Amino acid sequence: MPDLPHLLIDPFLFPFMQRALAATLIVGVLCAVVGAFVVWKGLSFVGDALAHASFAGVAIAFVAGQSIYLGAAVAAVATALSITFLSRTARISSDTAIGVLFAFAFSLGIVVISRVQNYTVDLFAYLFGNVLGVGVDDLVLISTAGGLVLLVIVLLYKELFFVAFDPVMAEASGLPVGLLQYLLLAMIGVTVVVAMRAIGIVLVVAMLVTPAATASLLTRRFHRIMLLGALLSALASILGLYLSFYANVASGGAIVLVSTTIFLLVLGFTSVQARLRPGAASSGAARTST
Amino acid sequence: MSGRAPDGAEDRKPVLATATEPAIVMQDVTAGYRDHPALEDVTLTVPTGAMMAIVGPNGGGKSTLLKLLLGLLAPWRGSVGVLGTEPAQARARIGYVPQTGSGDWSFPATVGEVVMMGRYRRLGWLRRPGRRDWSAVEEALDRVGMADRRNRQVGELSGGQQQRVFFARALVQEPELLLLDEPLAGVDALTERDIYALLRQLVDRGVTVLFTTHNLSTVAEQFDLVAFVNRRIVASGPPSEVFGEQTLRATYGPRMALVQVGDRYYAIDVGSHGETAGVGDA
Repeated sequence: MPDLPHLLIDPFLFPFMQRALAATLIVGVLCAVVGAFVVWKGLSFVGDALAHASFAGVAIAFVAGQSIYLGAAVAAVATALSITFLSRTARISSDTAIGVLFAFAFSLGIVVISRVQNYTVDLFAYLFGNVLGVGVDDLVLISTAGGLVLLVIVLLYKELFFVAFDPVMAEASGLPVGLLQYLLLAMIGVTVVVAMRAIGIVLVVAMLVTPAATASLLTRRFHRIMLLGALLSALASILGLYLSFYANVASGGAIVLVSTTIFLLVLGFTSVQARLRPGAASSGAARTST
Repeated sequence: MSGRAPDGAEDRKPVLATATEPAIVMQDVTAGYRDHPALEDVTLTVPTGAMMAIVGPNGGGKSTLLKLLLGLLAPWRGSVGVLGTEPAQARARIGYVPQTGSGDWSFPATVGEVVMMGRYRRLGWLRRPGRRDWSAVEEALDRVGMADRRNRQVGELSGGQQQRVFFARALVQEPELLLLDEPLAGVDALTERDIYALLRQLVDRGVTVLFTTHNLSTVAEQFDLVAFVNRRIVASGPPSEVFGEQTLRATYGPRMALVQVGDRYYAIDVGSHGETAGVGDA
């Protein structure tokens, strides 16, 4: 029986596993950082919707022989902008706008791929994720787009933070609040597309919400939620990848299962801690639902 | 009983513009939402360094007036000048204290972080707060009596403490014009007293203060100037000149009567017995 170091190192002797590791780490960190906004501004429904809407772009690009990523990104960002536009101008709530638009886009994707049945197996990789199939070109795209989103968040951190806390005051102080709100949604859209290959359209919302929610149980400083969430997310990605390799199960599902397990452990730990010291650490509950 | 200014107000001389340009000049301004006008034909001049109260009923256009001054709303007709320029251009020099409850108080942010938001425009894009900004935050928190709560979550604060945080945020901005939207609604008496003392210090340094309020009793005590607003400017000037039953009736309707108890004023709705309306004082 092989010893522990071999168990840990052996999987990554395969180039496809090295690429998978790089992809999951980038996706994990990106999802957790963007996820801090998703969790605290109640945007998980939007995140899920953008992921599903991107499927229309995937299907159309697939049929048209264009870049899948480009198609997905266009569909996700277009949906993000439409949601904001509709909820600002039409007299419907953003919730309703999301419900209408994401079902429309996902259906469009399903109708398009139903015309090309023999290819649907490949498209399953986008729906449920297959990080083991990530190629070098995928990796370049993932790291470029993901790096760009992270850079924007670092550079505009204080403005995004201000708008998240108090959009009315932010506008009164002269910040372009509408533009920053569009930008945040567009960044969630790009994140969803970046995570598509590794995690899968159906499961992306878990990576957006769970690590940031776990971090929110442990700290109440926004930037620390981002950093700790990124750390927890990376941990879940690596452990999930091992699980996927050794148990021969779908990578996206494995990573999400590990991430949820960590969340439940932390939740249990903080609940016990709060009960042992009543009055201290009381306000640890994060808003995880929309 | 009614229509008389309290003794204190007669001693205080109103601050008048001397050589300096007025802080606010509104001329024949009509503005509103969709097709419903909230303010009509408003002409108002606020001299630099004055402390003015904007008094009027709910829905009378007080908040609309502040939005116009912040450039968040464009007038349908007329012109709005703030600090010698257009409102949008003056924003970096305008401090704003919103009503209690503005903002997402469940959001993970500390007292210090929220006060620092007042420095953001001064810092500009891409720059991070430095040591001077943090010491400005420290000093502002000290002035509002919240120095020991810098690292507390804002969600844990009481209404009065939240308002002190907003006030500190306006202070670190080092504004030339300070706009306050009902800042005393739901605030305890101690906070109210502290806020008036701080405002007076700012005014003494030449800051112009514009303050919307329900609370008639404090107007005569605390302000140099008052404007009564109900869609139009009903009256404006020093409290001792404009305070009276006639003005009050024109602002709040014919059922209101002004009652003086000690040095405090109350607007009483004489139609429905015993109910005070338009008064925040109890």
